[in-house]
Amino acid sequence: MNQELILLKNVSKEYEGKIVLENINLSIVDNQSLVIIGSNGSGKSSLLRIIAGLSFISGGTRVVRKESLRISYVPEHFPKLSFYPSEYLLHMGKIQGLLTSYIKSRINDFFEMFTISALMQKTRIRNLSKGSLQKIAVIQALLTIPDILILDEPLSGQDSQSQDKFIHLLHDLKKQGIAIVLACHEQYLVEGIADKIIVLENKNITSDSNTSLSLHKDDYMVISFTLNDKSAVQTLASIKGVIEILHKDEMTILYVTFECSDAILTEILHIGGSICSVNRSIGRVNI
Amino acid sequence: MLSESFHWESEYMMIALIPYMIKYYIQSFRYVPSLLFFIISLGLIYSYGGISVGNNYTFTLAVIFFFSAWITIGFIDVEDTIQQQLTILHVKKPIRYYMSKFISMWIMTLPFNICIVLYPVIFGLFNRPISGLELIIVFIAHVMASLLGISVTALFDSRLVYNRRTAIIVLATILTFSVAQIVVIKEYPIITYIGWITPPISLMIEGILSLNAKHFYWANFTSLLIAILYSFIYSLLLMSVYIKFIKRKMF
Repeated sequence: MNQELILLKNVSKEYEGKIVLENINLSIVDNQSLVIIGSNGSGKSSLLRIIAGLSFISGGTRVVRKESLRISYVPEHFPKLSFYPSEYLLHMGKIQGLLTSYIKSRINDFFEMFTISALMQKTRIRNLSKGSLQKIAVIQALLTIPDILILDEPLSGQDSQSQDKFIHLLHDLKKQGIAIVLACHEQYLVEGIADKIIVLENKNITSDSNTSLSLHKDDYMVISFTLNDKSAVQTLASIKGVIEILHKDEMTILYVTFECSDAILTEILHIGGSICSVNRSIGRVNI
Repeated sequence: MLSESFHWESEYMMIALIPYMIKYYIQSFRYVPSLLFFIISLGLIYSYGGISVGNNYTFTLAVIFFFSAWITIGFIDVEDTIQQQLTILHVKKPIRYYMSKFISMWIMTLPFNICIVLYPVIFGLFNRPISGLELIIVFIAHVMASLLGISVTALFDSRLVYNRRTAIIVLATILTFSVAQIVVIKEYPIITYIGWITPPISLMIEGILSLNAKHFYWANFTSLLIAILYSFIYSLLLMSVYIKFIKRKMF
């Protein structure tokens, strides 16, 4: 059984008298990837900071279940610092208590993996592109293997090659049993990584589902569509092959088995739905 | 493999934080105004020779008090907010982070304390010889003045006092009143009670004035030693108040 690492009980958060999160109940367990979905300003980043213990909560309790819990965080907007990347990462490693030789070998591995070695000695962080900044953000978080890895929109600004490498990396980390908590809107990342998805809306968790995707993740289809009559979605839930139904803004996202996808597509059109996209996911690669 | 790559001790984390914080601050160039203030003050004080020990060190004590406060204004929130979050996560405990910040600021003021205390001795600017013991106690008093300046100013962190203009005006008033309170209270005895809560820099100033005596007397030092001890306790108290409040204002 997975070990609970952090428990949030009836947590609420206020900023200058304005409530941004209310009655949040959430458990972070090891070996599980939790994806937080929500529109801009829904409190995703605030929730991530609360999970990380970086935010003073206005109400409720945050219980840490494991001693010496190591949490790493990849922020959405990495700051434009005056340090050189190697110099900065060396400092970040040292303040974690790591040996210099270990940090150097680790950052070299990452530089090669992200093919950014040439930039890292000569260009100050403040002069890097958004994509390169995001890579530095990821590297500083993974200098050590954390118990919990928290990521806020980790793929924003990265090119498709780096995104693939990053998703690959996340899968590897997941295999090592690390708890991953991420806020994102890239559908293919949600599909490939999530064991559990929560939707933040109106300061609260409006949907909390353990996805069955892990059972089907070797071969499944993702169908995104819009529907005028939202109540008609319920008729899809009972159709054979439907794994999960999610709602994001005006969009309905359906996870279905490959074998049943044609029949389900026909049914969506039949109930008046308008198809936006159909993607097939095999393992970690999306077609 | 990974466990062999760690120094797990919290002390190591704090020691590693100090050069990072100082480097971050230096790269920001925020030190320039305070450095100019220090150089100009040093020039003004030591442009003449034959000065008395007590008068000189009273003035330098006030200079170092203001200088340390000025350093703190720039240092306390120089680190980007998101980077602060990452740094705190890396050192695991906010208290380690904030204590390292205080130690870094204090370390940065040390060379200036050494310089301002030794300069007149090296260049023979005093009207009488000064003993080693006097010099040590005067140096400790200056270090305490730095600590006082740092701990008072930290309370005006932008996360604690949002309005920067208000913060600077109130801070400048407190610092000036602390230094000049003996004179002010003599003129307006009704405000004596305010002197009880302001930083006890004036107690150290009174103690140092006793160095104007032609000879060294232990009795003259008693009040200065008490003032140094009181300033130390006062600074520790302010720093713990700061850490308590800033943790409530975390991100």
